[in-house]
Amino acid sequence: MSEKPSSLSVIWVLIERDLRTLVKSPFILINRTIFFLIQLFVFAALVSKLATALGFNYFDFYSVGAIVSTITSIAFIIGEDLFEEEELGLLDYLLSLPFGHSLFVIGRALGGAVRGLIYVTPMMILVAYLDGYLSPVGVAGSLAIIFVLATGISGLSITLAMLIRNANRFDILIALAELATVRVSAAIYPLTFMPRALQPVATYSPVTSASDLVRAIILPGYSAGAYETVVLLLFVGIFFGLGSAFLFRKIEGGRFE
Amino acid sequence: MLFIMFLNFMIDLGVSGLSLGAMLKNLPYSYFLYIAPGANLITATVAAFQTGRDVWRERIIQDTQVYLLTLPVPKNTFAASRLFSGTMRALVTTLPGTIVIALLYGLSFPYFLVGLLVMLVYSGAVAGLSVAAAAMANSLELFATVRSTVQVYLSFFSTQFYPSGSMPSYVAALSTFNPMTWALMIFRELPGSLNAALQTGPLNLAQFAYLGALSVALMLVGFLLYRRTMEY
Repeated sequence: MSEKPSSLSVIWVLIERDLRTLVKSPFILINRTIFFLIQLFVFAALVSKLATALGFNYFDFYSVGAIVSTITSIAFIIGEDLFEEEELGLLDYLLSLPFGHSLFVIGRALGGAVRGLIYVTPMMILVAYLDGYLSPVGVAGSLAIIFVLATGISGLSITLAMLIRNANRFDILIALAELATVRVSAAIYPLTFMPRALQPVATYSPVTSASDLVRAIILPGYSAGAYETVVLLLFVGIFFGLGSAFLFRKIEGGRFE
Repeated sequence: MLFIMFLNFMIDLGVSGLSLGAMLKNLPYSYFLYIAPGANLITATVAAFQTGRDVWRERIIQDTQVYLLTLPVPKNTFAASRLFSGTMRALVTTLPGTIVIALLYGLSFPYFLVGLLVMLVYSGAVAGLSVAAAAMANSLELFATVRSTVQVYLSFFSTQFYPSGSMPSYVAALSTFNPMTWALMIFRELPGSLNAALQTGPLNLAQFAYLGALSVALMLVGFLLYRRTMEY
């Protein structure tokens, strides 16, 4: 009789499966890369030209935010994958495999995050180069920060996919969640320029924390520390550890529409 | 869906619009008012693309197109109705946003109706494009890629965020043929607070003609490609 696979090997298999979809989806890979380059070399460059009285380099500021928003966007895709798998009848098969559902959620969330990390690593290197930052250790540290963020976002996306069973509603709600997560944060504009009522909300955003931490590493004159790290880890803890694992049980016996 | 889309619009306008407006106070006009119509047009793009998504799901995922074609409706009528209903759905979805833009711009009721007409024509163009993409794409990956490519082109290669005079030549060239640019120009030329600040002059009816012609062309393309999927 064969041994039951270890938790780590199950998680690795699930991550590997999500990585293989990366290779099988060249259009999405190319598309997101082009989108990132357009954000940077069209939008950020042109808005920087208009924003001459800011007192800081908006292109550098935005370049870090573009990385964070790109990985956020990619990490949200895992929920869409779950929906597609359910519609194709694949989710039932995956749930019948001999490992716990919590492991399945952990594996999928990590797979989404690793996939996002692979997507953005070349972009991160480009941004570091454009911003004049050449330390490999710092770049690796930045990648670790955005990996943590992506894990939490994947967990959030999976949680939303389990809460909403209708594909159309999910599609729109996930777009809204992505928009709110990125826009109500300091990813693409500094907190001080946001509407006052939203500044406290954005302060607690994990995207703000991740952006601030990466800027503190890469850009001169920016600082971040323990507070941002705690916010980021709390976010991951809630959506990756608690929310996904708890709500996942609800899908037993429920059907996606 | 109406509520979520309006929320989408309000986040885009109320967060990004106000934040970018606060950053760009050095401009001789209100940047917030400048980019406001674009937020509603982006919502229209998302809403109109749902039409294509519905068509794609019926064809590929749910396999309900075969059943729908057995209904006692001529195929041409069915295809045209899908396009028209998708356009109307986008118009209704963006109605609250259009009202907000009209209030921000201080538009009189007749010009508010002009704004509605712009939203209708623009939504028709995007609905046609989305149905065309849905008719040709057999995979979610391809459809999603086309959708996001269209949205990127409409947003970033238009005058939504920056005037054409500030663009490099290649961006300006792409922006000239962008339906979003035409729709935005019409909104910004409507008599109101921004028109005076931007000194855009009277409403240029040629923009309407371009947008209308493109909308008809894209709806026709969407219709023909969708119709082709109905023949087995």
